[in-house]
Amino acid sequence: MARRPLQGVRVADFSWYAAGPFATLMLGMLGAEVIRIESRTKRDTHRKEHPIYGRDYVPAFDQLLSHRLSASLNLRTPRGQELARELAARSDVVVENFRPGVMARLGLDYPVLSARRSDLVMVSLSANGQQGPDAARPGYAPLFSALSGLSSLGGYPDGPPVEMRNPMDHVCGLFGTFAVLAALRQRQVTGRGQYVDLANRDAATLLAGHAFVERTVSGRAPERTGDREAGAEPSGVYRCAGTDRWVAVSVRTEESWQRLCGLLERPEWTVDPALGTVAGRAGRRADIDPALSGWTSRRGPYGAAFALQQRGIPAVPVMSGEDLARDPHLWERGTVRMARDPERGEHLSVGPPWRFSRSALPPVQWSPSIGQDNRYVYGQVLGLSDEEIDELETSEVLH
Amino acid sequence: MLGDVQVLEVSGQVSAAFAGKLLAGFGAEVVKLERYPAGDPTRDPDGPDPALFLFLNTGKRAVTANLAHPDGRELLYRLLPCFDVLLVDTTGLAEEHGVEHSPELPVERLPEQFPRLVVVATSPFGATGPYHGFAGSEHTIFHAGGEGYLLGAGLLHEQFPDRPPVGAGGHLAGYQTGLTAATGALAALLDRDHTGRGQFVDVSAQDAQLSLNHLPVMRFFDGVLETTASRGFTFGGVMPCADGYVEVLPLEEHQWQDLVGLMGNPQWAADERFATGRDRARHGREVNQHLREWMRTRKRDQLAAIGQTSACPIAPYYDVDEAMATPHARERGSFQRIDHPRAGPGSYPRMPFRLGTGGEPIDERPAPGLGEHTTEIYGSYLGMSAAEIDGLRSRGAL
Repeated sequence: MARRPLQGVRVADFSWYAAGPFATLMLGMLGAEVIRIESRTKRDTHRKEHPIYGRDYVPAFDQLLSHRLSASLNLRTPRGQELARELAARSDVVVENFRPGVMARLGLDYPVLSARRSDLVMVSLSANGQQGPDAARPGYAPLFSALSGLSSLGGYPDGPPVEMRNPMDHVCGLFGTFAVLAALRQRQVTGRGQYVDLANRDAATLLAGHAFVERTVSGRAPERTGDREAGAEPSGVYRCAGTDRWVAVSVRTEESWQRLCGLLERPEWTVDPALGTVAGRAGRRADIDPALSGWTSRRGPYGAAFALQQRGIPAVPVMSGEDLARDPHLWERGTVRMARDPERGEHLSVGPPWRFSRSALPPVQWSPSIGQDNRYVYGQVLGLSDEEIDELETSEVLH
Repeated sequence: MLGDVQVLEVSGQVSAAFAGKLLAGFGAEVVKLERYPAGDPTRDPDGPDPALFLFLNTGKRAVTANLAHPDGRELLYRLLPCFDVLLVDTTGLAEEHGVEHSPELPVERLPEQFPRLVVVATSPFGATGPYHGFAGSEHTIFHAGGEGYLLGAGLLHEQFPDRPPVGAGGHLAGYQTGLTAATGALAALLDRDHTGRGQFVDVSAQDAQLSLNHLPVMRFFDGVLETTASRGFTFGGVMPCADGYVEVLPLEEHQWQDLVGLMGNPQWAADERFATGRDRARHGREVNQHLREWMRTRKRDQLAAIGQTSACPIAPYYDVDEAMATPHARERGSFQRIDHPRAGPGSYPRMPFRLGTGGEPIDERPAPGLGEHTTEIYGSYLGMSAAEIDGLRSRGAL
């Protein structure tokens, strides 16, 4: 069987909420053995209901917690902390996203852990970084994105900024994955470990990077583009037949424009030299946009998008959860797939974002229940006897 | 960290260029290959390079080669054994060099010819599947990934219930695809350290978005179709204050209690209808009316200061000027001043990582000019003389 890219790499995963678990999800999808250390005494948001998000149930399958093992451990007990240090010493990578200072308080910070294992790679994700005036600020994605400047780029010019949600946590997690892989690659060459302090707020700032350069090099302040794309005309999200159904269209080249005129049956526009440029078409938006939205409103989002794509014009249905779940392209690529478990049934899941021509990736794995892999983790990895594990479970160290 | 890694980048859009920038940020040697005279489509052939190009290409060196010319392709084939990674975006290959899917340059099959080479190709919908070859742009890819359908939730939806869904602004979809590509490149390099062999890595921009945005798919399977009307937090969220906007998000009980204390324990908060998170969620609209009333009369700076120390998550919405000017960004060194020889000085966001406990930020070099390192790199990598390089240039191969 083909090798997995991270085969043989063990990750001690102390992460919770969204950014950290996404970092380790990606490591698991690349074939690492990810051991999630979690406790019933302080449950992660994924392990309980979330009424404020509008989720009044605990998911049977949780994408974010899939592709890993679960070991229960109460880090508030001294014995629990010692077991965590043992586990880190037998792991290649530690990932955590507690508030800055928590790992040090638990005796699990990098100086302590690397004293036991000098080639340890450790990545800490936090909203604002480990040090600095804002380090103690609590941070969910909407908050660190607000501070980062990124949220000011989206939304309508006459309305509020956009509130960035879970995907922003996840992309910060992917920055964490990237850092883990770079540090592992460095370890391959030098034999030495690395500690990486990743600030999610700085990651969000980087994802708006051109706007800062634009502002300071040319003096231009970024403009909010609403539902449009700068440098394309027509460009926008156009209403389709049905409730809350839309197609996104972006006409960047003159060739695309000519083909669009054919589709809209407006031959007079093809010979109008003023409409040959983006700027020229922008000046006639009041004519062009209604013609295009008139055309899209008589079609469903897929019909409209396919007709435009057949002419080489960038267009997609604005895809809802249902569209994504049913899309034949995503199923064929394995980006949407079914997780199956003999006891727990089946659930839709989302596959990894890479297709390797030679490496194998693990099949989809169900998310573990808390402590389901205690025997393996404490028995095989740490070498404790069954009796010792029983005792630790009874005394609620493994809890 | 990646000092021994050599990357060749052929890119015409955002994704592969951002991947190259990230690898360069960790110390990889990244060489950008462009076609003379226009260069990367994100350059401005008539003036100083635009901000997007300046940002995307920090830390790189640049050569020219014309891949539509047989001698230019031969040059590429001579270069490839010197490199560990080839980063391409297929749209860029098509638009800049006109050689996408060309039998002379079968990108997917290059690892057969160069067994140690890792080829990472980004494209709008990937190298396989029914939508393979469909056109894409920043705007359409963002909306193909599920987040576009939902982003305009919360206050934005309340204010504009009839307007179309919004994008994130800027180039978020392209950046996210680039980060995915850079991560895939490192995974393939780590594999190569064990197997000695490179491979082809297919990165679909749509897959990259959906990977980050899996929740609506999960919720749909659980019987809930998320929409902009339903996705907003039941309470909390974006709130207008006296001179801007703040985000207030007390998800946990102790955060709520902290917020109630900050507001001076108002009588309404003691109402039993707001006793637990579940109760407050049920009466979210009313909770928000009270919260907004309190926020509306307060200045953003005052609320920002409260948020710095309180347990309740409160943060100001900053524009780019304000984000750059925070004491936090200054102290952490989140921005680096880079003086570009033609475009002039600017403030560039740094890599979001600090290496080592208490580590220093990583510095980067300004974006290269078109073909700035052609002579140097063809000389040092291929041992070519100035006369040979001039010969290629006169035949139109550079």
